[in-house]
Amino acid sequence: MTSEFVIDRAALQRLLDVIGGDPEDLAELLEEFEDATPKTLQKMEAAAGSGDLDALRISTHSLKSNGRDFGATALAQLCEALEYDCRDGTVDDPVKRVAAIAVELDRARSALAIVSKEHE
Amino acid sequence: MNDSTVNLSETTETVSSARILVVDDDRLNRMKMRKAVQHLGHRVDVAENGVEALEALNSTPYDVVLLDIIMPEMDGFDVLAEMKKHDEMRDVPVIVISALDDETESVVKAIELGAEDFLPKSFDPVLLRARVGASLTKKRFRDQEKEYFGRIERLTVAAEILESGRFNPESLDLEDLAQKNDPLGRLAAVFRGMAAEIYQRELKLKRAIQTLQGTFLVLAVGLVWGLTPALSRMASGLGSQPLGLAIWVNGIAAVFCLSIAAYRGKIPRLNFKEFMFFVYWAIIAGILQRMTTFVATEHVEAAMLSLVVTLQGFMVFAFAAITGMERASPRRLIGLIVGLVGVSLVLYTRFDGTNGAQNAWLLFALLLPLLFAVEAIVLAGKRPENIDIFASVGLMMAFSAIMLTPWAYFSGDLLSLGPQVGRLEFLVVLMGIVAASSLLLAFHLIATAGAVFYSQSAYAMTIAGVVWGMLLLSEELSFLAWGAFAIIVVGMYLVEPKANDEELVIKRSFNDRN
Repeated sequence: MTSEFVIDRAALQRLLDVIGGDPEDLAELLEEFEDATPKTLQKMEAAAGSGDLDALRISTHSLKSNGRDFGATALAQLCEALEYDCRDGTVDDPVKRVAAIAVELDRARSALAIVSKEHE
Repeated sequence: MNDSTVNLSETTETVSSARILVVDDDRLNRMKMRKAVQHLGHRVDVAENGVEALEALNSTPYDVVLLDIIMPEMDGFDVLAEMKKHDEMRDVPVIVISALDDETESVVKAIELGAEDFLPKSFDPVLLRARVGASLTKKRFRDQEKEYFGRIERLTVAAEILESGRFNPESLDLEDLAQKNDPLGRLAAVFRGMAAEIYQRELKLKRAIQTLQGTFLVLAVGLVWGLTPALSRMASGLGSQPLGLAIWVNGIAAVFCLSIAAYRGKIPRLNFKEFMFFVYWAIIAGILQRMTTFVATEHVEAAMLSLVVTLQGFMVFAFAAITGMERASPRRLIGLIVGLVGVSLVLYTRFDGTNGAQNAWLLFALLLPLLFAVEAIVLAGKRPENIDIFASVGLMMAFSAIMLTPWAYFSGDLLSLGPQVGRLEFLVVLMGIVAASSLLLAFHLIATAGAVFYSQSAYAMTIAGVVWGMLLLSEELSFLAWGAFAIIVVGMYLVEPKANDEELVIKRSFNDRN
């Protein structure tokens, strides 16, 4: 799958507009995405493992909005679904759900890495 | 050229630039928001959680807060609720950042808690600019409104101060308000201007009354004091020695004043400092002045001596000018000179030019006005104000009588009076009362009108001495004396009593509201 399908270019363009249009700023944010999202995922995994649905909801919420900002639509959708289920207390297997999100995050990160290079 | 353009754009930016606080628990979001808000030209601070946000709000006046709702521990709702509890944060507009999709409820809740507006998480740059701009406009309008109400409140306070009769522009505290060029500023300026006008008018009136009162007091002191030479001459005609007479006169004056003080229940307990004040005063007024007078009258012609004594006014004035104890204006100095001209005029006819040997003694006679001046200055500056006026004068008289007694004893000048009341006894009692009255008046005059104004009583005393001499001893009175008298009054008008420090309070009919 190429980055074209994983990443919504329009969302990424909107992010660039919001921060003022400087590609260097966007590169900085992309770097932070690379750095921060695995940590968020770790928090989600820990919360899922211990069954702390509230902590899971909050970190999933963060990943969701990060995903949206960077055009990772599929990632954001998975996160949103999990966030709402956490809120409603209707999560059957949180670990499995987080694992699915991990796969999608991986995909988004690789795609964004390509986008990153395009911008260089 | 280039520099000025840069400066201009910087100024316009700071005018619209605001200080904005971004609150978000997610680092990536904070980075995004910081860049976005900076791009709009505002200054940004970030807080990672609710507690940090409240700390920042507590220490910095922000114009807008961009607040994330979903945060661990203290969430956005908690921050909103907490902000409403504090006066200094209550009015800072909050824009809640929320993923709109399924969270209409939380947006409603946030707005119910006092949020100004909301922004979806994945917002458009145009939307951010519009929402922040709208909040800023409202905030600035509110700030202006608050400032306006603050000014109205200060005007109201000023009106209340006016109502209590204090028209002094300084106590109204409207200086900065009156500088503002808007309707309220102009109102403050008119308000202040009218109060100032009334205050100046009342101040002038008060000064005129003070001058009039002071002038009457000076004339009274002069008249009473001027009796003394005439009475002394009558007493010495009955065979009394000046020194022995002085002890009786001072003693009677002391008994007279202290009786009144006792009747008023105002006999003081002196501490050491106060005791020493009365001792020094008695030495200056009771011993030194008297000794100098004895010696000077023997060697200097009476009219010349009277003229020399009037120099005390200039001595007090010089002291006031050097120390800043009282205002020393050219007008006051001219007033003193006019008075001196008046006195010289009446004494001119009485000079006996034949006695050429008195020149050296004239220098000695200068001691006399100097001693009077020292007395006036000490009374003006150092008198213990807590001690009753009758007690003060009485104590000084008593001390000087006690100090003179050994001197009279050794010089054989002690005067024995009574027990039968003859003419001399009657005269001595009268002289005691005259001495007490003149000192009481002088003391009061120094306390209310100041030493410089008081020192003009030497002029009045000289003229009065001439008048009494005519009335009591059938001495010849030149018509010049009356002209001189008028000139001295003009001088007093010019000298003016010292200005009072305390603020003038004007009694007005609308003061009584009940």
